[in-house]
Amino acid sequence: MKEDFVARLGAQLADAAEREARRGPVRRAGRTARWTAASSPVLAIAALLLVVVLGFAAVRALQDDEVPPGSPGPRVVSTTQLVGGGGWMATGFGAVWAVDAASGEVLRVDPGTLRVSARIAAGGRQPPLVTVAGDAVWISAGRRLLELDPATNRVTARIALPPSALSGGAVIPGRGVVWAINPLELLRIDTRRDVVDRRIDLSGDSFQAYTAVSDGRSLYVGRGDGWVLTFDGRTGARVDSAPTTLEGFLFGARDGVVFAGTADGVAAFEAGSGRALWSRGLGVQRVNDAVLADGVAWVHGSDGRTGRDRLWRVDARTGRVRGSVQMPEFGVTRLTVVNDRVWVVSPGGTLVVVE
Amino acid sequence: MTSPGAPDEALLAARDAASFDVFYRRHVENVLAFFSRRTRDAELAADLTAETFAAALAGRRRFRPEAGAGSAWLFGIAMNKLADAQRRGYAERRACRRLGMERLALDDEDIARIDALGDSVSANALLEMLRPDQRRAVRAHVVDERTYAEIAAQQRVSEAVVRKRVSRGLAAVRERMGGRR
Repeated sequence: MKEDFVARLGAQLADAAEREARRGPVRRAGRTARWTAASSPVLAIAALLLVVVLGFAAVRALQDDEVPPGSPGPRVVSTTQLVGGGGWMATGFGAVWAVDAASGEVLRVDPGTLRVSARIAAGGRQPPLVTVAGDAVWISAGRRLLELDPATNRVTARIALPPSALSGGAVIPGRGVVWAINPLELLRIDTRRDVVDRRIDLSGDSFQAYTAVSDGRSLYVGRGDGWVLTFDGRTGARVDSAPTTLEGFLFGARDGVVFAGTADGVAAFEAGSGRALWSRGLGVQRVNDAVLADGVAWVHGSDGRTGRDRLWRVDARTGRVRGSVQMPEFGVTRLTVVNDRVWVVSPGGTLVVVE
Repeated sequence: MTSPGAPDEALLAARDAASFDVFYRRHVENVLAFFSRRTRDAELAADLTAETFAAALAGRRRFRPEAGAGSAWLFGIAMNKLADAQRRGYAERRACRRLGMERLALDDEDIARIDALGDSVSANALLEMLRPDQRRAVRAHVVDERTYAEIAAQQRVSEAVVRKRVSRGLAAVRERMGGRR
């Protein structure tokens, strides 16, 4: 009899667990061998010196990461149920535009009172994505892009995306134009005629694009092979492409520098050359989301020591940590900065405000 | 092997495959239902479930019982996977790839079953609908079987506040269950 998904996944996990268990003793044996080798006097002295040097470096690193005296670290100022299920958020036109993943709506929220002044149904089977770009709010719902006029809260255009779009993808602002992105293409939106008027192929050697940001002038696209591609924000002409050590997602760009989440922290790259300007390990199991605002990278991650989620404040120029705060809720669907405060929405729909 | 009735914490602390299998069987339907309800997409729910358990298997050494129950830890991973998929537009497969797990194709029966799981209102689904403070209190008291005093100490509130949250949370669950009949 054919097994169902639960049984097949269980069998896969059992095999993987067996393989992990077999690998365990080999790793332990490797560690033992290394310690045995280090038992010769010369190697022992070398190891001791290495420990001292590394210890000194670690102390220096810790000192670098200290919050400057007199400047308080971030703190949680409020926790509120904002939506039934957390989704994307964007800030613009004096409001926060928050997706309610439970209802599939986009809510217009007053940042001062948290009052919801409009609910916009997006349609589609999956929760929509929302972005502020140009003179409009853009809602990406499946293969349709909705243009919302913030003055009236009404949808003024529904733009069909080409069949090749694997998912609706996010909208990113360009230079006087708006772009939609999916893993295979950049799509320029002609906002006067409400059509896609230019398509730019992003794939390379079967690698797909998976992350993109804009600094207003240029678009920066991260591809699965670690390359960062730079495009002119108006024409879409490729300006640069460079290999990087990028593993995570891009979350901000400024003056040709892109900021990315890494396996255990955040990093800044020069987009044109791919050169890493700085990299900061935060000791996280994973970086969940991050946002760049006013020279600060706010980074949400799962703390490797405590297993709890934490929000770090990182100086975007130097990569130094300027404080962190433990989050009262698990998970994040989106971070956004509103009036110098960071809004963090969890998958459960709880809004945590940090300042 | 840890006994099948062992608590989640013991199953995660044991390093053998059989103990993790018990943990998986105990939670897989709730995790599938959680993703199915949130994504309304059986394929995506299946991918996210596989990725969540793969991450749990690879990371179980990092589980710390003092930081919370095993189920809360698992759903913490699930929530982060969901958030990540919503941000990317698709489910990543990093943990699955690391463990050498191929993507499982679904047939019509699988899809129907996962959709049905998402439609059913399980206890966990009802819990998710509660306010966060009530949800935490009800889960800690009813699911994790902690005393009011323990919860109060952990959440840094008075015992009376915990009792009120549990009472109101359970009343809301009862009301919602009644409303569906």
